[in-house]
Amino acid sequence: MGVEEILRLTIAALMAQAGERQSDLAAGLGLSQAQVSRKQGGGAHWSLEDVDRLAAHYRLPVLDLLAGPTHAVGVLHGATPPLQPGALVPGIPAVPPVRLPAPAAPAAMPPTLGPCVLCGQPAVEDVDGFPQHLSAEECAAAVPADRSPLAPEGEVLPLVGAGESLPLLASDAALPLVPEGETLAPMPPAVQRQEPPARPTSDPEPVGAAPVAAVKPTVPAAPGPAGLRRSTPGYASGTLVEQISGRVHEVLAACSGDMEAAQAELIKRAIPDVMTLLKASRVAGRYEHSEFPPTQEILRKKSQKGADEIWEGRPKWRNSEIFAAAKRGEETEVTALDMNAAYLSAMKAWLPIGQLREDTSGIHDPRKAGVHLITPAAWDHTTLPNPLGNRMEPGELWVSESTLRLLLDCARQGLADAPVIHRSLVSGASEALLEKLRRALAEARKTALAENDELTVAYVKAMYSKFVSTIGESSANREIRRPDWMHIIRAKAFANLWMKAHKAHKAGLHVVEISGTDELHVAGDWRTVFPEGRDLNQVKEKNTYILGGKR
Amino acid sequence: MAGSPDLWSRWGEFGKFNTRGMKGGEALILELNRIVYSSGIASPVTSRRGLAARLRYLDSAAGRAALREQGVSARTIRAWMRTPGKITPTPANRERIDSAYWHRRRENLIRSGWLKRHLDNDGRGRRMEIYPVDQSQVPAERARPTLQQRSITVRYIWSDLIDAWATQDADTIDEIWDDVISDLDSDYNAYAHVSSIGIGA
Repeated sequence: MGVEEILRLTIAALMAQAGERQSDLAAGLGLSQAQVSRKQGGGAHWSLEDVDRLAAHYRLPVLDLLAGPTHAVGVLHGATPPLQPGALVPGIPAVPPVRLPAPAAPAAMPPTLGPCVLCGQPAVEDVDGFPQHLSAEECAAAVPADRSPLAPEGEVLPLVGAGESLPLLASDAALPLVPEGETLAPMPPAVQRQEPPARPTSDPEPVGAAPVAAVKPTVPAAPGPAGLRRSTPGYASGTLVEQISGRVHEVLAACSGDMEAAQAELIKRAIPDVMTLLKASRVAGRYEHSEFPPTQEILRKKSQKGADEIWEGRPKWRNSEIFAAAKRGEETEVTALDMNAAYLSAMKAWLPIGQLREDTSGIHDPRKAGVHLITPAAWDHTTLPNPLGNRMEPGELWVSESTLRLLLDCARQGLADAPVIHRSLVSGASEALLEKLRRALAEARKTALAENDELTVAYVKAMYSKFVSTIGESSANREIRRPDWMHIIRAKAFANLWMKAHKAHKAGLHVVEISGTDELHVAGDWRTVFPEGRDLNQVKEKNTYILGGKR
Repeated sequence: MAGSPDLWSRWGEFGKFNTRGMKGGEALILELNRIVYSSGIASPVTSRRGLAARLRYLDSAAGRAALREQGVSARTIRAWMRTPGKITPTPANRERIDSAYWHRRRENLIRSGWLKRHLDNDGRGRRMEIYPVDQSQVPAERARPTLQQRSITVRYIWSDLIDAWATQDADTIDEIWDDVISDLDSDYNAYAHVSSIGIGA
């Protein structure tokens, strides 16, 4: 891993620790957010001058900045002694306002020679050229007295959502993860584990001299309620998120603070706004997707308000065994769970890029997507719903890509046979066409939920739900005409719901009912399976009822 | 075929090697038809709501003239207009009502300028996507190598195009198509024939 890569990881970790966004960091460095984004993303290089500025911004010595994310974050907290004691960038006071009790005056210690090879603490003597404490007692005693327990400090970023599927940075565990520490920082040979000092990890970083006065941890900029912080910077495009919040403020100002009127206005403008965001999000995209491809016969609506012949697989199923038992008098306590923002999560689906073309080979090409004419296999599980939804008629049917992939997944897991594909109308596909837009909307929603901003939440919800329902052939949205995308996204929402039911089933819960776009009724302790909340990967409990029992 | 001589020069006998497509002008006409037909009354003529809406639309001198043109007798029209909510026309007459409705609507859209304004979009014009001819059946050495899907913004031609479309003047439409694609690139006349066009309107 090159130094620049390490530096990028370090910067991401420090930003997360400080609760900064790219725009905040950019302001601190005298760059623009776009420049920071490019440098972090690999499009431009971090120069040595930038490194100096970064060191000044975070008040870290330069060497610590380049020593890896774990080390840098450690030094930021004062948990890890810096490699260059007293070598802070000139001009910065060496003792910024301190939140911890002042460390034992480093000046009192005799000049050190480096980390003791046994315990890593600063050592004064050396043996055979290696700095080393002369006895075990000295090693133990060398633990700096100012190492206040950092774990209860709550420095661990309580990232919302246990299932946050972001790249796990070192900062996620706040203090050094053991493996990261091992690989990144140079380990002295044959480190003997002395009695670990009272610190959260058992792996002391081999560091230099006594820690400089603890640096005040930068306070996160967002005044969110404790426990909900911003997710990793760089997850969503800052420009797009700012466009969304800027629009909300604009409309709010135009309505002079009247929330009702502002909400009505925002919802009225939701479709043009989301199309503007889509265009902005695809500006730097690799593929230019077709916006008005010729509509295939199968996707043509039979009448202006009617539907076409694609089966979306909307789930509607009840567990007949449990209901029969309930009739007999057995009681079951059932919880109705509600998925959050189902269509927003469903925007991550394999979408065809160009116009659909016929493919009669009968083999599913995973790099393509579209609609397929299939004959599904039989489904004989009574405790799990049919991934195809409740289709009554046997025989062939047209399904979208998401349903086909779900059926193929079920076949791979051995739940049923694979469907037989007769015809496909496909085009080369990508899962990331709407990803930038989705992330921006998700980030805006998450921040709004954290700040209790229901106006923005309603606005985002209007945007993504209207987007999904009008990208087909709709007179309400004339800037795009892709009925195949509409079916694929909706089918993906249903497939996601089915996968949650499957997850519950695997975990031992009883799936009682699955209906609508996002309702899942289970019996059992669902809290062990699904996290609770309003975030995208969490579920809400709608209500609990008793099935069966005496009338 | 109209348009500059340059437009058709690169095509010899269209379809000689199994290229499939249509003239650009024809595709433009199809798209304009789609735009017009996707507006208007949403309910079909077979529903009570759709039928009543159409009859209300046709309740004027011009509407009645259109119905008569379609072949409905004057007596029937009078009976319908007296009690528009309670009539049950025959299927043939329902079709005539629908055709008369669309005939009137097209005329009104053009006369009122809605179509021109809609396509002109305050001077911004509309996006147009050009899908080249389908060359899947053409042998490799005869296929045009550089055809790809194009996407352009089209302004300024819309009024002329709608006038030509209204009067069903195919030559002018060909000339307009020539205008549209001549800015594409040096091989622009490869798009004289297309498989389809999409207009964002």
